Amino acid sequence: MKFPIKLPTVFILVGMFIISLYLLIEVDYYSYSVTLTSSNDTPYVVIPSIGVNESINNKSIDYGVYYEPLSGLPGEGTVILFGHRTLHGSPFLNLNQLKSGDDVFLEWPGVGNVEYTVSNSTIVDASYQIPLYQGNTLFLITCYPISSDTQRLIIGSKYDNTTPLTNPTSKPNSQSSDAFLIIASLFGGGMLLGTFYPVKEDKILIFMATIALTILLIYAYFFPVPTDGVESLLTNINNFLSL
Amino acid sequence: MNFSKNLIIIVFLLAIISAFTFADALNTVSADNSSGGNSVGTPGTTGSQTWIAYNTSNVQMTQLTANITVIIKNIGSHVEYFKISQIYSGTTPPMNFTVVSHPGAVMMIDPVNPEGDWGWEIQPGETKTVSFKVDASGVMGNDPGWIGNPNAVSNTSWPLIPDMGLYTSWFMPDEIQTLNPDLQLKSWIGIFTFTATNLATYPVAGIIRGPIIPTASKLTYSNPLVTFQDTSIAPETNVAAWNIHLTKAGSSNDHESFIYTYQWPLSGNGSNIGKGTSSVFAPNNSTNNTTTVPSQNTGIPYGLLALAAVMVTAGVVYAKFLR
Repeated sequence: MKFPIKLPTVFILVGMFIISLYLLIEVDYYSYSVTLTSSNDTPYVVIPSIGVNESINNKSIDYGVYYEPLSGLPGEGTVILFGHRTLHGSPFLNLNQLKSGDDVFLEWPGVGNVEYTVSNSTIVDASYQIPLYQGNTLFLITCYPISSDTQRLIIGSKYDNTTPLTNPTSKPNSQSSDAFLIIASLFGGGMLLGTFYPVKEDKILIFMATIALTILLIYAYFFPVPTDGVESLLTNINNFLSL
Repeated sequence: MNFSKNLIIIVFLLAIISAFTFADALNTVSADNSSGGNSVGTPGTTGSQTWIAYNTSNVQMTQLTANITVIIKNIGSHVEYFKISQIYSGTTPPMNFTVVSHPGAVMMIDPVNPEGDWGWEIQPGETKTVSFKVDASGVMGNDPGWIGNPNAVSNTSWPLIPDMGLYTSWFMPDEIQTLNPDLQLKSWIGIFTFTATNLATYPVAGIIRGPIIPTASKLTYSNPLVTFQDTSIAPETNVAAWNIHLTKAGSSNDHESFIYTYQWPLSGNGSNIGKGTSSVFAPNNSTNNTTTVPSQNTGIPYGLLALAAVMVTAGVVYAKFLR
């Protein structure tokens, strides 16, 4: 019995599908960031030494920097902020480069411009429970090492002072165009692959898969849905394969 | 040179290397001994290691408690008992623990300690959850507990507490499986508390390590947040360590209370274990019901993405050149 699709074609189609799942997460993030940053009450975290200037939300870490709602307000208690180091805009990509003495600012409507100074960094297991009452401090938390979900890097910062928020320097995220670049890259790469694919009878499958996956990403951009399920699937497969 | 000559040279070199290794091990043991038994104020120096010795200690440890929850299965064909003792002896100076809570336990016959031993009956095939709490008392506990004991003996056996800040006492939660192969440890959770108080007339600062740490376990909670985890104390051991500053005795900030939680085993996906039962790992000692929050999933592994890229590349290469 002859298999209807060539083995290398199966490999390519499966590979394209997996890659598109990763791209879906990123496109989804940019779509959400457009929606969330439209509010005037959005707080921002600014870390000049590593070039972070990101909006903060209290809905989901999938939308960028996430404020733990059970934690305190800046200047009044322990503030806990989570951020992805990979995907979802990677807001805390370079968090490990922070050094003791670096400045961190929280521009918080209703509170002011709150300044913190980095005091220490700690690495703990992913199951670590973070204490909520640590005085007037700020914790920035991301994954460690990069692209792993086994540990967490916690940057502790001490409160310095609060000044009036008269002239916010932060601007809303304007990275939505990145989503179109991602979609265009998938489409262009897929069409190129289909054009030069040596198995002529399977070229049509490459083209069809490219178009289908492109439509999926475009749909995800205009009608974003939480990608928690996709992330769990990818993480579980990674863990299963010990990658 | 034939094969036999090569073999002789290799054996000779191995013998030399082994001799040096053994000599180095002897030096290490000597250094261990010198740290505990040397005279006050004289740093023990042996081989390449130097140990710190205290003249006296200015920080007192009190209120050392351990709240242990063990899930254990009897895989044998007959009834077994999971036993705990009220006093651990044989150490100098002895560190006494009083069992203050032991729900479901019965007093054992022929106790190894005069105060008696507590035990939990586990039927064949039964998996039982056992909880008990012990408070330290005596020399190293409330009566009073000095962190730095000038006569402390370097010892790695539970539950002696050597000089705090310099060293940590560690133990193996799964040692029970060695002692009694019929009792299989499923999980082990320990919540430890202690208070460090400055008794000096001047401020002090330094690293304080958790006094008792299980091996092959992960730190799942601490308050205050640990400054770092020391992995150099013992193999597979992540010792909670804090950088603390205490004001002079009698002032409001002359003491600090610590609480930390460890969970055995070290491996496995902690986020799965912790779901829905975070209160087990993080005790609520505040009027507020929630004192901790779990960590968000902040990373997605890239391994699968790399594999996907390899699959696409391999597919193209195979179709082009190998098919």
